[in-house]
Amino acid sequence: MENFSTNNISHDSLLTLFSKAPVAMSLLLGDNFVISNANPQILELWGRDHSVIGKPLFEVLPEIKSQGFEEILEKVYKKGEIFNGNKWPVFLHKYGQYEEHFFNFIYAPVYNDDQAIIGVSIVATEVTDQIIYEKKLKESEYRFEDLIRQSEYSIAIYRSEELYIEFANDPMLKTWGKDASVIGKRLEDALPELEGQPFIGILKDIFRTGDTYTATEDMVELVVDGKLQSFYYNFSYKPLKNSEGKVYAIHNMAVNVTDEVVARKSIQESEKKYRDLADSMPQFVWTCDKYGRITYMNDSWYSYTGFSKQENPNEAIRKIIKPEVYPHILEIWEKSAKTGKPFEVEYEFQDPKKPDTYRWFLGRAVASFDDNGEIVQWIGTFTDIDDFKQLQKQKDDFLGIASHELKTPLTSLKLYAQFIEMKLQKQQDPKNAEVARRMNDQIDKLTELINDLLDVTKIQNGKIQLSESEFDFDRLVEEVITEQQMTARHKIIFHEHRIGMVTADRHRISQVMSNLISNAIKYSPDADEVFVSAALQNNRVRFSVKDLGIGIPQDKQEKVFEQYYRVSGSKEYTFPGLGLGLYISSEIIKRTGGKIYVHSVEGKGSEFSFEIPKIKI
Amino acid sequence: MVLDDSPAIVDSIEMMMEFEGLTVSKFYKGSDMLDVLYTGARPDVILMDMWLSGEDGRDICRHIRADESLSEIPVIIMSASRGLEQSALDAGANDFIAKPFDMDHMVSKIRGYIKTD
Repeated sequence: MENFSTNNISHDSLLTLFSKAPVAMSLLLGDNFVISNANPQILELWGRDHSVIGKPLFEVLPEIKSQGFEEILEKVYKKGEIFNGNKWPVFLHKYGQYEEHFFNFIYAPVYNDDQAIIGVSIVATEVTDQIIYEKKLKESEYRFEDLIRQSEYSIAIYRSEELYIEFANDPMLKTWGKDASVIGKRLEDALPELEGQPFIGILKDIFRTGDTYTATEDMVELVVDGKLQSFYYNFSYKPLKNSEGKVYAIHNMAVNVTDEVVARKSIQESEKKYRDLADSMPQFVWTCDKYGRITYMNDSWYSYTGFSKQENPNEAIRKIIKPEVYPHILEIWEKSAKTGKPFEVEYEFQDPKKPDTYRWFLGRAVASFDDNGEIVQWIGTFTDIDDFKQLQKQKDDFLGIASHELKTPLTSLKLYAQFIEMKLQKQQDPKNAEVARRMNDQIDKLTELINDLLDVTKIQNGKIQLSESEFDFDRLVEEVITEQQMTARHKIIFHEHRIGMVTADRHRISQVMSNLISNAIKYSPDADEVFVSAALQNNRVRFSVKDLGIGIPQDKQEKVFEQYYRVSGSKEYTFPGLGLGLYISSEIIKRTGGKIYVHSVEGKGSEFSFEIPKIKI
Repeated sequence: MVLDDSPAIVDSIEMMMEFEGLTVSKFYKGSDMLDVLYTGARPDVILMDMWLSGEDGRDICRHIRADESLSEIPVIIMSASRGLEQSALDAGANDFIAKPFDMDHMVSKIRGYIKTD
């Protein structure tokens, strides 16, 4: 200022400087801060016009009085201290709006020649736009950071080749098993377990190459909860480049896929385990879809048949199955496929070692269903039962031969017994003759047992043959009842109903009738009567035998027609028999085109019936 | 004539037949029986077994039926295998009887053939 005086610069020049300066300036005089000078810039800044000149500041801008300016001006005016306001917020009534503005300003004391303070000078610039921009930027940055922070993905930023962790969101910290204290540290210091793993090297390379690196289901070992654990991540390392294209940081984004990978690996392991299990089975294990298309065959199948895995397994089966039985097997399979009921059938596959021969297999399959009860797939096996079949055949052959051989001595034994009986009768010795007769009866019983064994053998071999003829059913019933009555203690009561002529194997039907009646007698030891009835409905003849005997438990009623089934429970040993009679009867009736069944109440008695067609149609 | 490879059966049948007042010629081999038949023997009835240790009773029956001079002789085939009745009749047997049998039954069958003869 001294220069202004010494150089005698004109008052007008100073005024020009004052009014044209690109900053807002004003001069306040006196202790009530009267606006003595105010350049157009400050008037614009205040939103006022020239009329304010000569008026006290707080009269012109009353709103700023309570915003701390009175104290500041007082301080400058009284103590002579310069005050610097930086980005100072001020609410101003300007052009009808009451808004916040921001200013940088300097309040300085104004002295007279006597060095006494006479006023305050103001130099100010408005920085409102800059502040608003900064604020907005900050908000946007904050929002972006918040977004990253709240992201489900693990995100981190590593700055410079030293890989300082500049940022890591909570998921990333959780991934690392660390807290926020690692931020600012070098990655390799924060996670020393990364040594020996490729990641630090890859990150450092990116500073050189500038290429993004992505990985899928990469395994990383991290110390989490105090122990080194393996995790799987899908992740990317993306270089952040400055305006010159130079990499200054790396953005790391990662998704933890450990659960998925572990789950899949465990399914794969489990699948492998069961596949190994299936492959180690001597049986052929397979699966097929609901349409019967084979989806898996175990190794045993391929090593037995010599087929390649490329070959369609369905066609392979067709190639080696005995051609005559194929349509029959297909029929059974289609029935199962429709109902979802287990498939079980025996058939022959070509023996790959001896192409002219076949081996017996047992094919079985069970369906697995989804929640809606729909078939998802079938799991099946083919089991080689050829040895078993051979043994069975040997057994059957043996039984056949043995029973035939047993009959030879029985034949002569029976003749001798009859001879003795006749001889004794002739000698007027009825007592001993009766002994010989009983001997003959027992030979008959023995013959029946042998015949049963022979019949079973024939059934097993499929050799039982029925020789059908037309016969008088009623006469047959009478004959059987008379014959049974001869040896029975029980009274056999017959509810007669004329049936007439029937076409069937007379001898076999009589065998079934005898079997049902003798069973009724045998299993009703405490009763005195058994009841026989016959009925005709449409073309079907029904023959029933009812007893008041021990009965059969509900769960055993289906089993009584099975081979070797015997009365179960404590009374078992008290009833004689091989357990073949009902089996033979049911096979005879089945082959006659009829059915055999039982109604029974345990402890009350049973009623066995068979139904056969009267005339074959 | 009775033919069976089991002497016990042949003997016991003989015993019963004699008791019934019938005369029996016993054979254990089909060829022996045929030899005798070819020498002119004419029994009232031939009763023979089906399995004869290397010979099949049905073949012998067919031989008899094929020979004009023998074809009228009634033949009864007996067997411990019941299911073979039809094949015995097919071979030309007049009757089939399952072993073991009741002598009464057998005798009445035989007498039936003697009467009609």
